[in-house]
Amino acid sequence: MPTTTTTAVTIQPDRKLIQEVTECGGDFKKCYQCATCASVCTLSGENGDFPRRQMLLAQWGLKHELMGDPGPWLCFYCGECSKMCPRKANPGESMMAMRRYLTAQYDWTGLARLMYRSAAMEIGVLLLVAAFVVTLFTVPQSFGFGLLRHSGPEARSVVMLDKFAPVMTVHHGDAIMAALLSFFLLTNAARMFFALTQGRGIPIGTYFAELPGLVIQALTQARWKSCKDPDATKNWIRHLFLVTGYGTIFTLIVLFLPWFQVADNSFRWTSILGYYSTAVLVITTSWILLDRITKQTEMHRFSHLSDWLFPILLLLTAITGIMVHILRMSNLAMPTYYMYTAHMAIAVPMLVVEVPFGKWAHLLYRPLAIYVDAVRRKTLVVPSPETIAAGEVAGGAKA
Amino acid sequence: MDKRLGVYICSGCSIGESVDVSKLAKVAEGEYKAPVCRTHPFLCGAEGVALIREDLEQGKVNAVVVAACSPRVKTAEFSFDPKFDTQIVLDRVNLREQVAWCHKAKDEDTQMLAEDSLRIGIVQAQKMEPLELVSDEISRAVLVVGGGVAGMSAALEAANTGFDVVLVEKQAQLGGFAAAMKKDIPRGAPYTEARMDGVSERIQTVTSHPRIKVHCSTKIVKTDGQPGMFDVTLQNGSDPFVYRVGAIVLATGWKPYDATKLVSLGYGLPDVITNLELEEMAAAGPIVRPSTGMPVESVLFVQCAGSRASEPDHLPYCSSTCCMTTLKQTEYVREQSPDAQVFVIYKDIVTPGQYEKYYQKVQEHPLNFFMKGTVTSVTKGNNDRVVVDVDNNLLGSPMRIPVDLVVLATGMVPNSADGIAIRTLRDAGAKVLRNESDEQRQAAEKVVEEYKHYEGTEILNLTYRQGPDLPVLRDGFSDSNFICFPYETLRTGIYAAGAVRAPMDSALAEEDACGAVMKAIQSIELATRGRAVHPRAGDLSFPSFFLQRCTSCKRCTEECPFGSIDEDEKGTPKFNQYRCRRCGICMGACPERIISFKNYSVDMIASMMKAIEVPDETEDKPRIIVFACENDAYPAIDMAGMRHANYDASVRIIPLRCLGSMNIVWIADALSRGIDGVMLMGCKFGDDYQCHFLRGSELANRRLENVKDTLDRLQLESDRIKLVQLAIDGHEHVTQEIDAFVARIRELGPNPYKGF
Amino acid sequence: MATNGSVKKNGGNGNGGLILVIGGGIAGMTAAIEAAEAGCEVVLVEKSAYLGGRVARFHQYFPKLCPPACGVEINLKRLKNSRQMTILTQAEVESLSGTAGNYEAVVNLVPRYVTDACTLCDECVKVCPADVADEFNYSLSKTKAIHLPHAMAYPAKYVVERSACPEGCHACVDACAYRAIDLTQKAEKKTLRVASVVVATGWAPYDAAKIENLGFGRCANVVTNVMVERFAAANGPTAGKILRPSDGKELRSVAFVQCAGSRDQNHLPYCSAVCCSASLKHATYIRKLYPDAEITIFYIDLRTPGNLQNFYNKVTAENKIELIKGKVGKVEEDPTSKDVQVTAEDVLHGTKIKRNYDLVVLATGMVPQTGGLPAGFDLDEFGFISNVNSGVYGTGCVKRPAEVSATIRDATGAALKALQISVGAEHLGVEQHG
Repeated sequence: MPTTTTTAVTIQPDRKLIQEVTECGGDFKKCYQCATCASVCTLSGENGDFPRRQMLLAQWGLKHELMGDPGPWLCFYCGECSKMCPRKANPGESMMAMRRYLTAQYDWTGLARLMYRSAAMEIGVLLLVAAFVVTLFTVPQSFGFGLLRHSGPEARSVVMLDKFAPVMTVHHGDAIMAALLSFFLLTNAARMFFALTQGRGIPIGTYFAELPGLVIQALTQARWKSCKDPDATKNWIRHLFLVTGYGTIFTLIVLFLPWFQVADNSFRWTSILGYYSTAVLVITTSWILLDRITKQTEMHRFSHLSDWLFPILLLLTAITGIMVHILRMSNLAMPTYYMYTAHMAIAVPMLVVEVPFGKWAHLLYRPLAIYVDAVRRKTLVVPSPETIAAGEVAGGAKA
Repeated sequence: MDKRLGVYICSGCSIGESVDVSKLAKVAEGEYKAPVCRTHPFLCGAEGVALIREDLEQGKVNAVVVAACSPRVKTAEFSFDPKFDTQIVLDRVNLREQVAWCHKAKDEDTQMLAEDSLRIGIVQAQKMEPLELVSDEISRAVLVVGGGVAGMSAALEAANTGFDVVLVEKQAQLGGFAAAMKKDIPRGAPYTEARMDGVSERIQTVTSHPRIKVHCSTKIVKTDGQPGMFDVTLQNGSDPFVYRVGAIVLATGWKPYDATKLVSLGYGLPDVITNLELEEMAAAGPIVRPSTGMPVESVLFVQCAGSRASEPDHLPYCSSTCCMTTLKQTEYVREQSPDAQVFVIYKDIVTPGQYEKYYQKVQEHPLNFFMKGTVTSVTKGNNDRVVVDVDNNLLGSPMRIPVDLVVLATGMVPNSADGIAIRTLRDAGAKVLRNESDEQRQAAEKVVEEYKHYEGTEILNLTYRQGPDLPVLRDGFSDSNFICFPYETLRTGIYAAGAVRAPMDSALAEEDACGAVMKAIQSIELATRGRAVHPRAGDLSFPSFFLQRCTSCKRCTEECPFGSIDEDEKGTPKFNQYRCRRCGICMGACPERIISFKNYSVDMIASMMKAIEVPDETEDKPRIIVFACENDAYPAIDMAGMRHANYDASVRIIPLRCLGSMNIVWIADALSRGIDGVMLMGCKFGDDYQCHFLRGSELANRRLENVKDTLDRLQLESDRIKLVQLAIDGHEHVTQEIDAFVARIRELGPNPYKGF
Repeated sequence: MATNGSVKKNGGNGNGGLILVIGGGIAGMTAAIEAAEAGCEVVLVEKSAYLGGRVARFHQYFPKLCPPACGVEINLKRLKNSRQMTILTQAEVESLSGTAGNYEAVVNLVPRYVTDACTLCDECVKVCPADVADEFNYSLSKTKAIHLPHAMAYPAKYVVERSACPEGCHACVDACAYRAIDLTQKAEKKTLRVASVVVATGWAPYDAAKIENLGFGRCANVVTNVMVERFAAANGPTAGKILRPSDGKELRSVAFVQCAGSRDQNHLPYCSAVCCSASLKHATYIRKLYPDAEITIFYIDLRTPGNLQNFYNKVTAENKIELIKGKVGKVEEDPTSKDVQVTAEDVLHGTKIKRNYDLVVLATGMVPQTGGLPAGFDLDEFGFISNVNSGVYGTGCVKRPAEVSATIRDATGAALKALQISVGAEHLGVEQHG
């Protein structure tokens, strides 16, 4: 491949990058570029595009190249590379670390970076939001619309959830929250998108052509199935269930709360969905937690705080949700209200903090990266350093 | 001595089933009147051996011919002379591997072969004389040339073995490059820490050692004599003085590759230096940018600077040490400023064995950046940093790296002197002075022009006819051509050690010194007992020259691979026994046939050939002589026998010490006596020659060229002579080559000179 | 020179104390011969039934591409001429005690069941009913329970693999006209009083089966570098032909996988130093037999230090060889064709390679052989003998992975170190007991 025809990349190793990715985990500095990882990886394409190349970019602190590389998001962490790596550089975990680093980089508020670098910060932020939620529900007159205002004495004996937390009010609250997190998530995703596409002269047509792929990946993570490791299918299905469960409950709460949160105990179709998702959430998250504790699979050998919070918060949300339901059914007024508050105090911070700034961002970043990668491959470009580096020059295959 | 011949024929191992042993006995008793001739079914057994010992003890015999298995086996059983061939003549006839096992049993031709083999053996025994033990005053001192790591180690090791040592260093003090180093590479477990190498202590021990005499700022004016009795004239200032030593260790070390040839890599820019310059800077103080004097914050190492190069003007080899040195030097930079960025651009990182551990350690540092790639240019960039362009790299796109300092990891060049080249230069010089014909002078002038850079490179200043120093192998290293014998030099008693022998680090140089000293003291020990060194270790025989008939043709002095033979001004050969390796190449070279060993001579082989019965042309029985190198071809023929390979029985195999000892008169003799063809089986020659006497088979081949002219004059087909290069593992070629040759001879028909 | 049969009780012409050399490979032979020629008396102890160790099984040496037997033959000649050498084969050192100048070594001798009377007539083999795997050929072929280890073996005596003998069989004894076979031989112990010890127990190839992803044992056409030496050798199992093990077909394409186990934290963390040159050498074997075969070498770094670089330049210039930087990660077999699919990344071009080859050669590394040694040796973290105390000197590949000439160089030096102790010490000799 005639690299001489292309303009040189000026090398100024970004010390911060090396340091921060190291903090996020992974031993990429141990890599001596033998490329065992890229050859054992079943996802790594014929352009042998990862993980070896990203290991090099991280080792050398080449920020611009790494930011513009979808590679880290194309990996589903089967861990084969880590198992085989002759230098024990853990490419799998290094790629995970790079995803954490990139999540922080794509976030323009800087919050993500703070949270990834300090556990205290992450937990702090979560507690702050939780406290805010609790205040909303408990302190009368707080912010002018303390919810308990309406619940008269009768509401203390009989469960009158709608008096305690008027569904429309919460519904609007949800809407505001949804808008908020979507705003942050989308703006961050936009930054990622530009980092991946800039200077590639990709025709608009291609973007549209590949859109269906984006949707499919986002909904099914189909790509994961191509991982050939024994656990791949298990992990994929488990993750798929989790997504459906999470998706359903999210939609129910944010879009259809009035149908979902109801006063009487009569059975509705929404209840089935409710039961389904809570069940799925409880099972999958506790299963994931079990894997992380036992460290059985490569994927779960190393656990960053963000990896713990993700399933823990989901599990707690589900459990508290169930509790609310049970308490309400058994007509215990005050406990229901408190549990409801607790439920919200976990669910809300989880959503506003984790989705745009935390690990959950991958629900958009990963499909986006896969999409852009597909778009980039579709686009035949004049060799520019990045594309050469991504090994995308025709005929590069044979020396 | 007057021979009392005893012929002992074994009928065991199917010899008896294959040939008629009683007929063989008749040959010995009838034709050769052997006073004693016994046959036995198990000669190598206790009983058989006892038979022979008895006859020896009773004085019935003093020359023993054992006609049984190959001389390569049962050597312990069939060795009778407690004083190493000085009292008893022993000869072995190979009736098993080369007769019974590879030819048709109970066959006329096989029988004839067996009988001829016995005749050849008996005649050989008749012609061999017992050897004598010579003993001279042998010096047990060792001269070590060079006071670097290798030299100092050699001196200490020899002294600690109880030998006196003279250590000569041309610089003002000992230590060589090691003294200039800040630290040494991690040469031992755990292989992760560069360490101080304690050179100064080493120098102290050497200088204070009672057995070692150190002479610094000293040159060798002249080295006279031979192993066991070298007279070395040293000069330090004005007055020369002489030491007598028994052996010499050459440890003159290396010099850095000339970086001025590396302008393409930026050498010449103020902030581009060599690894040696960096080492010196680090040893002296902080590592700074020469241009500004400020400490460096980013350094880039260029590996293989001028080494492993395809361009002819650079070094083709790998200097082995540069990678480890660079790893060590990155740590200097690191110690000095923890935040410095260190780049290493390599072709391949060469850290063999446990050294890999050190590479791993250094490479893992967050601010060390390693990259396989090709440095295409090193230039001065803006804000006066050095800009390095790297192509064909792992990133896949050209890289441009601006740094404070570039270090070129330059390689090692041996501090050797090419004795042969210097000799050529001197001869040519002499020619130019002598007013000869124009074209001769012009030719000579050309040589002088081509060789003049050897002027004044002498180190040992040997007074050898073949040049003042060790011949060098490839790329100027005084290395051995032999993998199995890395200390083999073409000058007996002189052994190279350290970087002058091959590129190596100080750890290996110390080990290498041990090896070279071992060979040095070994040559002294063997000389003390009048014995040859490798490869004919222990041999007591040596050539004697019948000078009255010498025509001063200088062939022997030129062709001796070991420079054993000097010349006086008239060109008369002057033989130095202790330089000799007993190959007999001189014997083969001599047209007057005046060079012979007591147990190996032109006459002996000629007589052995005469012993062969040559049937006349009427019966279709060609006779072919095979001269086989005893080191490789002969064992290969044995192996063919071991495998019961069947080849034509008209060949008569005569082993030679080396094909180079083949004298062409033998071929003339053979053919004039009606022998139909002569085949020579010797070692591979050329660049990767396998002859253990350097050029034996090659010389034989060259001599054949001349013979072929003679043949044409005799109107004999030159196909009647063939030289085959045969390796020791070539047993199946033995059969092919012999059968093919015999077939060809049959085509040519019988030698017309039969019966003359 | 004496072998198992007769061990001299005291060193006639040896000056100073005995030197014990453990290991009769090229390193041990060299150390022993060099010391003996310098006038010392030496006892050479070898575990197997013949001298020469690994090099005896090589086809050629790099960089000269010459047969090892050539140098071994000269060394054997030197050794036969030496009257200061005792050779104990099928012997292992059980214990070593004492200090520099005065060690006591107890040596266990396994019976050979064949005496010095053996003439190599081969009659015994003709009648032997029992087949055994031929260890000399890395079990690539079979031999008989009574056999000569190889045609040029020294000591030139047959040996009986007793465990393989059928109950009560004495066919060989009856067939031997020279009464050279004695199946009643018992194991012996010898005590050696030696001044110094050279340890040259050498190396063994790394067990390729441990490298799951490289398919050895799984794929019929995946072999190791030491096997290639035997295939290429004229005295090997295929008499010098290199063919596809699965179907004996000729080769159209061969891949060499470098660092198969070496430079790998999961296997051997160190570099085995010789495999690069060895694979280049093997490429010349292939090229000689198959002028048009496709030859690929997959490597991380090509390490040909010193003069070996000239070999690298020569081989790559004279033979069409594709060098690909990139370690092979996966080796799989096509169940029908038995072709071997090799997966690697061509790092310099950032492209992934999936290619089928007729034969894949794993360049497996060196594992130091310290197993048979008595306790008390100083090993580094990789198991090589390190900074040995004075009086006992490790040499050759048990000290560091190295090519033959480097090993011999080192062994010659080790002989000197041993000799330094020996010259000062008094000769105590060998004694023998049950």
